[in-house]
Amino acid sequence: MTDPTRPRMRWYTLLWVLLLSLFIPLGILLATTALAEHEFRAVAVSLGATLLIIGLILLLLALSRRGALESLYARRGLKAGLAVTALFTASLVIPSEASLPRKDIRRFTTGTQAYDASTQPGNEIFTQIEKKQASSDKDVMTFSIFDVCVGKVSHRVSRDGEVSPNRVEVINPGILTQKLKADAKALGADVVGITELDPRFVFQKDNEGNPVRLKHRYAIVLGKGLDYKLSHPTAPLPWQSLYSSIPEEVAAVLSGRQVQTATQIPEETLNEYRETLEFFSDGGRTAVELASLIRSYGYPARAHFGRWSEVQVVPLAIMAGLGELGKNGMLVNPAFGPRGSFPIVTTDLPLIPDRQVDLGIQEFCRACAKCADACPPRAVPQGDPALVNGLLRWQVDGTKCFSYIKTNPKCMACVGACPYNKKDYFVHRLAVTAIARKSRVMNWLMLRLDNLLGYGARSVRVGQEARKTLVRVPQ
Amino acid sequence: MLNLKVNFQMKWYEGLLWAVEIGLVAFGLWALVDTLMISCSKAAWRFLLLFLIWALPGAAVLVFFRPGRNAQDNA
Ligand code: SF4
Ligand code: SF4
Repeated sequence: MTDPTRPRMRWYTLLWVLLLSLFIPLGILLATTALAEHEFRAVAVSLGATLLIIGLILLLLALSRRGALESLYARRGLKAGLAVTALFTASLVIPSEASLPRKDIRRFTTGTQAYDASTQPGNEIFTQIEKKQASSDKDVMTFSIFDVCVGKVSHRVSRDGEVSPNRVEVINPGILTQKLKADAKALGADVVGITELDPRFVFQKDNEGNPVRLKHRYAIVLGKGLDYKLSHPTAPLPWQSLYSSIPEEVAAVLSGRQVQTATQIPEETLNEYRETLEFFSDGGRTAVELASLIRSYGYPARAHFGRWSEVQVVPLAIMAGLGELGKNGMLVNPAFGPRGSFPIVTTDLPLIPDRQVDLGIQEFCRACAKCADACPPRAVPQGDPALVNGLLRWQVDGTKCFSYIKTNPKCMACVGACPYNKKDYFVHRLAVTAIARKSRVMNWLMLRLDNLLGYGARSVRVGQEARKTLVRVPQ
Repeated sequence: MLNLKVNFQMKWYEGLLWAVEIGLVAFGLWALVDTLMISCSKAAWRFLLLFLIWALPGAAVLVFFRPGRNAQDNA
């Protein structure tokens, strides 16, 4: 029997309880996700918030049972709170941020046909090449500084090859496209997108200064995400005082040329370098193997990766629907943010291309500047985008970036600081979907939440500490 | 003044079942946290689910069955 003297719960109190209850599973999900990412501040904040919400619900229930919410002020307060919450929720989903005009690469870009890859900033360090004559005359093995570091032969030699004389007849390009995407994933790609190879994005000269001859119809863009735990600056300590000499020592140890170093390099630092360099090397392997598979179908195919690319990666990846260009100059993918590597396979195999996507990432970048704040040499611009090659975008100062990377090859401050740099978990996918609504309030909220949870804080801190060192150490 | 009065009584085998239930849930939570720490989110939730499923029959016994008067007298 219900107690007739006990006040009944009002509809608006019940609504408040239900509304607050929604945040309990969200808080638990966020806490467990953060635990999987080893983001302990985020775990503490989300668990604390969940407990606070549970406390609030219990308080509401207790007050309601005692009839303490029956006063005029309390009733009006609860109703007004509901109205404000409804308005706030609406403002989160109603698009209020103007879409960036000139996002469509196909329509607006003026292209980079005359681009000479040998003039890319940083070419002088990344292609310090050692050529070795292998057993076969044709097989010139090429080592880049990265390959020396990880002790791996570059895949460059296998980028292209003989096409099988038995050409497979393609009856249904749609099914073939699906199969090829599945094959690419089996070979190690996390995401795959296909686009027509726009000749505006084919280089005139490769990074050794040789003319590029590439007339393939399609580009298959393979996206691989670096392990989340590696996507932050690795500073070989004590880098504050010995800034420029340590990376060479790390390289020497990784390549096995040196065992003892003048400065004790922590094992963790060495491992972070090794795993990161292996990741970038592995992207090339996936592209080389996919190209070889396509050639076995009787169609030409060539792999492009790292400095061995003959095409512009970022515009092709955007056209293939793999993300948007962020303020930090990286392609930001919804699954792994800016920590991706995008090897490409160009081919004549008939395929169905994907479409460019608009996820509101560039609009979010307008509200955010974490990468610019974290970048030690201030290579990432602050403020609004400018018109570059017909597109509205932020232009990273490549010369500043690479002159810094010479002394610290695994900088990544702009990657680690980015709010999109998360593991591909459900709760983060929710956030990406929410940001795609292009609401100013949502962008503001997400950015504040990201800061409160402490994501990217380490990268911003290390980046800013390194910036102070740059002022002290003459370059 | 807060006046707490807690009074409960159970058979030794009920206590044992409670201990088993609490142990299973604690194991599930530990498996959840431990598996999350190696970043296997899906496996973590499945581990928790596995232990909760194991705890279900015992929980059903605790909820739906009480020792009868005879058992209370005999034990
Ligand atoms: S210097 Fe570091 S933070 Fe700045 S753009 Fe280059 S990689 Fe990013
Ligand atoms: S840190 Fe912020 S501004 Fe920079 S790329 Fe990421 S979202 Fe955009």
